[in-house]
Amino acid sequence: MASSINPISPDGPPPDERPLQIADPRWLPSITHRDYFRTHAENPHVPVGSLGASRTRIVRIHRDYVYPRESNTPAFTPQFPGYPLSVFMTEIEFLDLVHEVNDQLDQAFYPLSLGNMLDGCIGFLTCWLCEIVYTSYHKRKSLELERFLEKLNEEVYKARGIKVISPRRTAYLSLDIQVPYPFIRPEREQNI
Amino acid sequence: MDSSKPHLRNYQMFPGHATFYLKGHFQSAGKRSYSLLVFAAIAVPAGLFFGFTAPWIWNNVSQSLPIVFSYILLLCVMSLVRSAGSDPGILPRNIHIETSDTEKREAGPLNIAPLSVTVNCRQYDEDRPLYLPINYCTVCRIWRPARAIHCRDCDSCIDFMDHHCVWLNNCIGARNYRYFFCFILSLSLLAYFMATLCFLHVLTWRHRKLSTTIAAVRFAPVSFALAIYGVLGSIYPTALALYHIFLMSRGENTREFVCIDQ
Repeated sequence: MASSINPISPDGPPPDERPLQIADPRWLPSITHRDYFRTHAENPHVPVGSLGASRTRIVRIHRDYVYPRESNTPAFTPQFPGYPLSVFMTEIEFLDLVHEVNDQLDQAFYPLSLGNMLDGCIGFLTCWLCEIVYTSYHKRKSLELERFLEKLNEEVYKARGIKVISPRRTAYLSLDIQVPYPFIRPEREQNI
Repeated sequence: MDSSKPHLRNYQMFPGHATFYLKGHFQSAGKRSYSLLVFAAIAVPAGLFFGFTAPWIWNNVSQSLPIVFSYILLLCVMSLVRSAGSDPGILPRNIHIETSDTEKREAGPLNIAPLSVTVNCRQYDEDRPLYLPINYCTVCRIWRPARAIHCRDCDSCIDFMDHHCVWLNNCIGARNYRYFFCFILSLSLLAYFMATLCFLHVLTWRHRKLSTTIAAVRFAPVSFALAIYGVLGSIYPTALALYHIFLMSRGENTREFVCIDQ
């Protein structure tokens, strides 16, 4: 499923040039969103029956099992789900978001990274009492990712009406992007 | 645990079987718990050890040996508390709602979402693509990640579940595994060390007083009993520890090893 990105893009080098994807013929795209049957779903993060429930939908970016270097690290598929997300985001922006999230998750969850190994060794030696004293590397990095997404929501996505829900709420099972329903950008709505 | 509302914490709304103590910091599956029994099986001999054997060894052999024993005991007890009480990686419910209740009423035969999807995973060999089935859990209403399993005793999907430990009354999953492994390792080390020190107590006395073994045992009966208890009690944790080392070398789960037909 090659994404149709114009290589001569004014936003800088296209994400296709990342060595993992194009150069490696063994990398197959992980799943098609069609396999999961629905392109958008009910929003489980707002109370049932509230205004939010009827006015928002979730576009789910599912987990990917090809991308991460360690099989238990959560990562999300960089496959663009098309409509309805295409109304709110271009493919390049989507890929930037997903690759950034995946990189930060890989940093947080990779068990052989220095921070995680040190946490394990020091925890073992201090009989797990060190975890009372300081937050572990993995947790710090997860919180960093959460703050990054909050900042992105606040600065860029709020104006478009969408919101990326923090993966901590979804237990890293999927990257949920809350889009308004019907699928119209707020700035376009004002013109009507 | 973050708060979902200002006054309620996550564990207060938890729909599964787990029971929570200490304001949510200690959790346990809802069934009858043997973990106090396990704790007593460690604490009582350790108490006897400190009462009877340790003073003699402190005064007559070496001061560092009881200290090392206390360190291993602390490691064991803390690992027990952490592995029996911490979250194994319970996946929250209702994240991936496929058909809501309103949609179910309108659903015709074509509007049924699939319950299993096949996904590519990372290939190590160019010619053989590997596939994984990703299943949907209808109880938790989530798409379960690759190695997660729904545990009936905990009534939740657990990420990378190893097994449900009856002794600890908790599932062992991704977030719990290091405490569990440390527990069985330190428990076997503790048993060996206790047996060694107790035999040391008996045999050193016999050596120094140039007496017989029977007299030595009569001098320190508690030590001798503790030594036998240590030897017997080290069998099960050692077996478990070796088994888990073997599993780790294969990169597998207990469940995968048991259930996969080779």
